[in-house]
Amino acid sequence: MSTNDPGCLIIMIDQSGSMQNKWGRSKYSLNWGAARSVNHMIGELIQRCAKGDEVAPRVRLGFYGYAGADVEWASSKYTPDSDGLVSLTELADCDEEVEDEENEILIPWIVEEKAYGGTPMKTAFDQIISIAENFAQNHPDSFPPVIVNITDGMPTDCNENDLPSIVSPIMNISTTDGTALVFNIHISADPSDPVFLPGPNEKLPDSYAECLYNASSLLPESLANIGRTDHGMTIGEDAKCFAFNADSALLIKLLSLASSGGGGADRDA
Amino acid sequence: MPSAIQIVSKLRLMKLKIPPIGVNPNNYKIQSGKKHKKPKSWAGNFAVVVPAIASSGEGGTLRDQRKVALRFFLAKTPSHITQITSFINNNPHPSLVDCKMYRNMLTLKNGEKADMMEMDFVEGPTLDDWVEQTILSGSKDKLVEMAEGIRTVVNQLVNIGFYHGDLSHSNIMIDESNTGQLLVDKIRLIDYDSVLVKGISNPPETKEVGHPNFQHPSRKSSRFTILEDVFFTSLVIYVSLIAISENPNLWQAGTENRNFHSKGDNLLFQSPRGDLERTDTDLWVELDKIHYPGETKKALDCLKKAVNTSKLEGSDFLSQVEEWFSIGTLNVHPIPVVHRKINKGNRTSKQSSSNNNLSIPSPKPRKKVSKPMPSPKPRKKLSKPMPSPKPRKKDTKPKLKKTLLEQVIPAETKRKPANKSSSASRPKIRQEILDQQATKEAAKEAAKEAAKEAKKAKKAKKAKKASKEAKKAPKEANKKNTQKIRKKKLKTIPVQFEKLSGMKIVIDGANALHECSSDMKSLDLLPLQNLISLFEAASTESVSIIFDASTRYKFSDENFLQFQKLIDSNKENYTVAPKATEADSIILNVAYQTQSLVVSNDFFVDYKKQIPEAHDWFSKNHITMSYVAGIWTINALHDNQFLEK
Repeated sequence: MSTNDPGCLIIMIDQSGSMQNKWGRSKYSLNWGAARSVNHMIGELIQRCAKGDEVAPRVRLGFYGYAGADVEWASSKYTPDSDGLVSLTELADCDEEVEDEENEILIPWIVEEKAYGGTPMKTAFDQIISIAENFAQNHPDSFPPVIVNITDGMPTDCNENDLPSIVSPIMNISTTDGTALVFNIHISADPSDPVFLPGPNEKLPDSYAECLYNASSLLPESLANIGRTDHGMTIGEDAKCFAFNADSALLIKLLSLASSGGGGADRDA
Repeated sequence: MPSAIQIVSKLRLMKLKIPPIGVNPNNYKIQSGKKHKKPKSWAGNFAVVVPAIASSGEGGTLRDQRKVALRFFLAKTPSHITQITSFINNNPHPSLVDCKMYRNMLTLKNGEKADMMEMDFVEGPTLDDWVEQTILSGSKDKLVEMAEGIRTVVNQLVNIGFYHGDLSHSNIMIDESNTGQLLVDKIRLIDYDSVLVKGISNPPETKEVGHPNFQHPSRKSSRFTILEDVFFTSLVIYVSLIAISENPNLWQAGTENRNFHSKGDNLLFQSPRGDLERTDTDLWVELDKIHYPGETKKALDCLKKAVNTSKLEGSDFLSQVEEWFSIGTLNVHPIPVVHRKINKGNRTSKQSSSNNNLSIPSPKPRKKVSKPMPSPKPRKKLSKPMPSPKPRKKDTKPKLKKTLLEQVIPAETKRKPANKSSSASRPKIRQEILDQQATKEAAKEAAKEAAKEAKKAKKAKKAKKASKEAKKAPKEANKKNTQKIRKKKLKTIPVQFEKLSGMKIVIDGANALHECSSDMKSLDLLPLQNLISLFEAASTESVSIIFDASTRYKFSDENFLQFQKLIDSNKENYTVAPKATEADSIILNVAYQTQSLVVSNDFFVDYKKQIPEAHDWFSKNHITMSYVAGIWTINALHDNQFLEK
């Protein structure tokens, strides 16, 4: 990622009614926890791109919540530019912060939590496609767009078996640096152990997990290496950008991994 | 590993104050940025840096306060970092910042601890910001001065054994608190995570691979910085600055969307756009249009060739660089004595008591680097055509119309077989670090064989000489020249020094030093000086000495100073060969053109084909030497023509 060739990160957050449920063993709801993780990642990106008082515009970000029948921009403090994205530099001035006492981290509260109605996942993907396509056309030398879908359940606007074919046009979007990546990260009230970045031979908990697995990109080797060295993750061959039943610590790691495309934020210090 | 937001949040929760912790006696007050209570910070994949005011003792008095930069490591702190900090303390250089490591300075919520390095705060812009300012102010000539300054600094640091490994637009700073006239004095290098210093026994494996916009694609994460990396990066920076000075439009100062310069990311070259892999990118098309003044064209050609080379290590890149880039700079400027600011509050009492005045020179005088760089000298000298005192028939051959330098350099380049390992083209300093093992083995092997040979010769004196020769520099051991020669069972005749009256003498300096020194890594200078005076006492017309470029690395500090003194005291006659040019070819050419006798135990057989006239002269005007029990004996081969006189 660079100022000339910024990265593109689009976060899709399931804000359906079920996201009000408590997240696994945690004390907070899925929708609040998801917002916190996303904001944590943005906060880290801001720090990573800081140069004195400035923050380099190395990433363009999009946050889209889907709930009811709508797909909406998920931050009331900021409005997206005409390309449906916002520059990281703009987000750096966020004054509202939440102290994550669990981790002693001050998190800029950019993406807001919400939870109501159904899960229009197909509509959300359809809307993201044009944003990602547009970005790739305008930034042919950038790291390809990375789309992270955070969800706790099945789509209500399509058959879950259709997800792979709905997502595949996104995976065909490309820049000179490769094709767009789609991460599907499933979170749930179920406190059982997560499955993450599974390979083709790994057993998945259920058929819905299979659908999401099939709608996820292959994790590029460069990212797999970052996951292994920086996050101490065990990642096998041909792993997919997919996790099932992730807890908040895992979600933060995966978001960090997804945002480290293009060799990481900055190499300045 | 800690994340940047974790570190910064922790500092904010500590209200931007760090009390004395463990062995660190300092209080730090971290400076806020634009936003109150949020620190100004710089970050990357490996560290977060914040500016702070340090003060020692309770509360810290105003007088004690000093500005520092605190660097918190995100990943595991490089294991060799203390070796780097102690190297810098022992080898102060004006372009290096003072730094101190403090372990476990921050304890994070999850129990992780972050190490911290306290560094001098450099008051001034990073290189990229400086370029922007310089172009906007219309003084683009300064870019050339900066390019040469960086070249000088890199070469000086390589000479003292400091390889930065991650030079970039953001790791070179321009110290504006230095009010001197010369830009080179303002250059400060920061970020030492990728540094390799002379003497590190086990270079750590690292994932630190340097900034991609400044590194050759063949730089691996599995190895540590090597000389190729240092020089490639330096060339990227040098060429960028020269190109911008010739065509400032490449930078597009002050504009929003730029083609080649990406704000905060590079100078001109962009790795994702293939600029460091291919030479047909948009940037290269522009670079090719520029007229490069003087020698700077060589930089472009050298960089171009390197970019088109898939693997730098093992290629002839280093010898190309050494042909000119690493030899001083256009305006050679001696390294000034370090006037390091003494941070009283933070020093031991011993140091501060001897340094009460901020501007007094460092108590440890700079040793190796305080003298002008010797390397440009021979070049200057050699580039003038040498007068040939005695015109000979052969002189009419067109080849001899070339200058001496022209003969020397190509001969050297050709002499190296293409399949020779890269270590041969590395300067000796590098060899010392990495090839010690190989060297020892090669020398051992050669010594064994030489001993066998010597046995056959049955002469005790010869045996001694042969084994001594075999212990010499690895280069010679590998070549095994000496063996080839010895097989011929040459007949040698002792020569009286008096017989040399009125003759011109050229001594193979490195060879003589090896002959008279017992420890090849720490050469003795005194016997050589005795040898010189023996020649002088014999009323010779002149005595010239030519050393290998690497010779100066093989002295103890004390002997080095004397060596340097010796060279400086007689610049006309004492010469150090330019890097990458072994003294051999120079010795032969100088001897030939000035009709001098050569004093060496080398037979220079490699040059027989390459410079036949010079070698022919040498073979008939050759003196060998031996140093036994403190006595110099010189010999000549029986067919030497000068004996007939």
